[in-house]
Amino acid sequence: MWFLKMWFLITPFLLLSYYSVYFSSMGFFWGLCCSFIFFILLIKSSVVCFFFYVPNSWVLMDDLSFLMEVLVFLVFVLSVACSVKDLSFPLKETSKGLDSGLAFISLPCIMFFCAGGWMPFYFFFEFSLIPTLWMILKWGYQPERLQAGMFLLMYTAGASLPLLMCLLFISTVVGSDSFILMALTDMSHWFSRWLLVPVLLAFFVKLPIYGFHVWLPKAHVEAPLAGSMVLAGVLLKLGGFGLIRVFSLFKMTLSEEALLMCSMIIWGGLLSSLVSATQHDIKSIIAYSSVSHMSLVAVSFLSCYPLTKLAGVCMMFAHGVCSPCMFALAASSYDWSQSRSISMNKSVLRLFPWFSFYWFSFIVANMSCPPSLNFFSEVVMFSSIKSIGFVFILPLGLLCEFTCVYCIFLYGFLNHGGVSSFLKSYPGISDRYLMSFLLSFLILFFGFLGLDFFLV
Amino acid sequence: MMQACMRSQNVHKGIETCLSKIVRHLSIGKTLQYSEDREYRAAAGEARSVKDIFKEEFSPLMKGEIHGVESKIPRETDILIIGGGLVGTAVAYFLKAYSSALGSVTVIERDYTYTRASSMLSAGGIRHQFSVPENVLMSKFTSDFLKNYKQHLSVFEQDPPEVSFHHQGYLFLAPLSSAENLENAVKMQRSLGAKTVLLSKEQLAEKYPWLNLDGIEVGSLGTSGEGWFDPWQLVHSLKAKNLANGVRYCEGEVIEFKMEDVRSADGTRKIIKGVDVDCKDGKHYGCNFSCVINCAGPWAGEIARLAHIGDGEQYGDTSNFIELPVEPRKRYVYTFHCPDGPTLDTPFVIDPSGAYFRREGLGGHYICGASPNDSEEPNIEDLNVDYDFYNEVVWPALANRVPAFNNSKLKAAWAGYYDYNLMDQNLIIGPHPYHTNFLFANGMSGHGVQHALAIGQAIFELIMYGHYKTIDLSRFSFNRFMDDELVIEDAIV
Repeated sequence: MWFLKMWFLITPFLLLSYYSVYFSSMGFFWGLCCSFIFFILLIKSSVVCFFFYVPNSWVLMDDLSFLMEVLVFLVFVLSVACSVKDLSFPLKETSKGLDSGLAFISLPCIMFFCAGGWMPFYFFFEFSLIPTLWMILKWGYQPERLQAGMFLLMYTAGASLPLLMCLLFISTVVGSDSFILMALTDMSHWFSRWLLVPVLLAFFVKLPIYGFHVWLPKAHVEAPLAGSMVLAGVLLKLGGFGLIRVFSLFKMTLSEEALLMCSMIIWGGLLSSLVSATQHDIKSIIAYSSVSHMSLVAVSFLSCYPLTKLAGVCMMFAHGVCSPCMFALAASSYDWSQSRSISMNKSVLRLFPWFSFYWFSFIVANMSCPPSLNFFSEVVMFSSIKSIGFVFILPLGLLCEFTCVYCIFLYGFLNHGGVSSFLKSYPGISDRYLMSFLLSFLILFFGFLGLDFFLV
Repeated sequence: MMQACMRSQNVHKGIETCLSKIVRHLSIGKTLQYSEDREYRAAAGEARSVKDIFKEEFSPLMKGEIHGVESKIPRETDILIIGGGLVGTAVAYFLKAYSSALGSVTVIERDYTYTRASSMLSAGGIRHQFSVPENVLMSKFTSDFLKNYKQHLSVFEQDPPEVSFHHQGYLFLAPLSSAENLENAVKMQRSLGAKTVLLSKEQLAEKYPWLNLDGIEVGSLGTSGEGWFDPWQLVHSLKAKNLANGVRYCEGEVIEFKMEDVRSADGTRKIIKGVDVDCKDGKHYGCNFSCVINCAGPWAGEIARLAHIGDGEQYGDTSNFIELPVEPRKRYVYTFHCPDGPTLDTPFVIDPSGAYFRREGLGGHYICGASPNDSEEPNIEDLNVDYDFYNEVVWPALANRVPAFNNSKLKAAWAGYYDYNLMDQNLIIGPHPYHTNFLFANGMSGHGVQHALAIGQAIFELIMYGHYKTIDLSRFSFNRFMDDELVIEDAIV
């Protein structure tokens, strides 16, 4: 297994450096950062037997962090490859800054996932918002002025202020902000368990959970492709990762508040999948599907059981690979027909079968069809969640069913239907672009071979 | 093909001379060359300055100005309809009436007061008596729709819509030379379900004793579904329903079409990406769209030229050599009063000479008009009425046909434009072969008002299903100019 882990470590860095050198000076700087991190990790020969790496009190790397770092690199590489049209080699004046904007989003995410203490954790959690907002505003498609950006900023910043208060309080109690010391401290007689709720709120908004999810469809519809991909692939996982950290360090147990939150979250996921089936904007459908998948992730972490944790992490990774690809395909459809409406993009199967194949594979992965990673995560998740409360089977089953409904709805409308007389001709999709999906396809459909990799 | 090219070249020259006049004189107060220093608001997907966005966002706070949340023109829309007259509004209605989830529909109209709109200046007649089957079917569609318009166009919590439909048939009179044509036309119309009857000379004399039947052999009368209505009211009812369904109306003038070069294995081609719209607030707005529908009426030719239709590109087996052969033609409508003219049972009479009249109201008023010969086309620079035309052409013909009109007095008159199709005076509908996302709904040459609803339904079916479902209008596609398969309509008024 160590060999696989080593390979997983090296490949994203190499890919990233390769792409970065081609695209911009900022990308080169970015490639340099990654190589630097890689180098630091290599120095400590624990890269070979990799379990828990703490070079100093502010950086911490364990299996979960590592997995998330791999995901960030993967999504970054994918988004750079898919927004080649926007970057347009050699760089045009108008695309100036998109690549550095991308780098600026990914950098805090990288640092967030290897944060070893609450300070860098919170700082990079919040800092990732600013380049996202900038990207949405500058290259976005918003019809009105600041709406999507305001929603994004206000929701996330507003919900994380209680988090800051709690973290500061905890830091004073423990005496340091290091995760390790926090895990070793017994905090139960300093404050009640209910302090956890405001702490979790920030992550629920980030995930997002139904009820705090309103910013996500707006942000996705209005963001440019690269922004959408990074948003769906990485930024949502900040919330999930934060949830895991909080649970493990607070030594959470399955209690009343956890069960209450579980039931609300599952119900929200079900509602979100229903809403997704009624949308007419392709990006909106995928955005609401993100909400319902992330609600499953949140429930799996709340259930405090190792197998569900595996399922949740696996779902996070699989969703983080599948969703950006679906957004990239949606952006391709938009490039073709200049419209994001599901009624204006039709008959892809008849006109571009290869494109249709990728739509099929990612939609099928999204609705958790075997042998995709989503399938394994969902099956494990469902069988473990029933152990915390048998009544959850009903909403979970319905959620699964409605996920299928909107996935098939999306596939049917896009791929079938009459050939629009006014949408016949297409400029052509480049091979390089399609090949970037091949990598994700392989990861999603052959990733089950390394399922124990997600047992973090 | 050669003939088509030559004909199109002649049409080209004809259009150029006519339309160069239009370019100089007809635009409403604005020139087509806009000054470069007007502020430009970027269309969707183009980079904008974040600092400017924030400055604009906080300017109400700093300066006390009030901005609406919505921008004047949307940065992107799925379907853009150029022209907010009856055709444009009908297209928007059918697009959104099916499902408001089709996408976003925006209508751009440059004059909300509709001072020159053909829809508003039209006499508003609807007849089923055409020689082209599709025209008959389109008018029947409109009649059926207007039968149930209250059901279709009611908006919750608003006053019920009105169209003021007056039921009265059209009477086409034919001399011996064209009697057989009329008979065949009536047969065709009846086979399609239109309730037209053929009246012999005796029947005409019995039914209409006030009619002078010299030189008339037969007449065809529409007995059901024909009449006239108020197109102004129809436009406003449709518009109210559209606004309730989420269609976005914008006031602005399209001044430029933005193109994009796209490379593929077969070569480079241009696609229409968006428009530049000039707004009254002094700014230009960029608006990208998936599909644009030209409902600009008489000025459709202008819009098509802005969209580089006829520029001469070629891609595969599609080409862009022919311009849209639509130009404005001025037509007059005169109102006169006759104290002892025909009363309630007066049909819409169309004389073989081309003059027509119908009853207006119940007080002895009539409206009338005629189509001038090709050599006598009036000047399209303005909407001034030529009374000599009435005195020399229209009134003599009508007085001959209805002797009572010898004792009539001209009361009023107005002029409006036909969106005249130079080639065959019939509808042009469907996508352009090269610019496939540019749809036409032009060239109705006087039948726009009675066919607008059917055109709206047809465009909706094209966009939603990819082919026509209710009425097959593929004969009226733009390709017919290149394939030289013109559709000639005999019963032109």
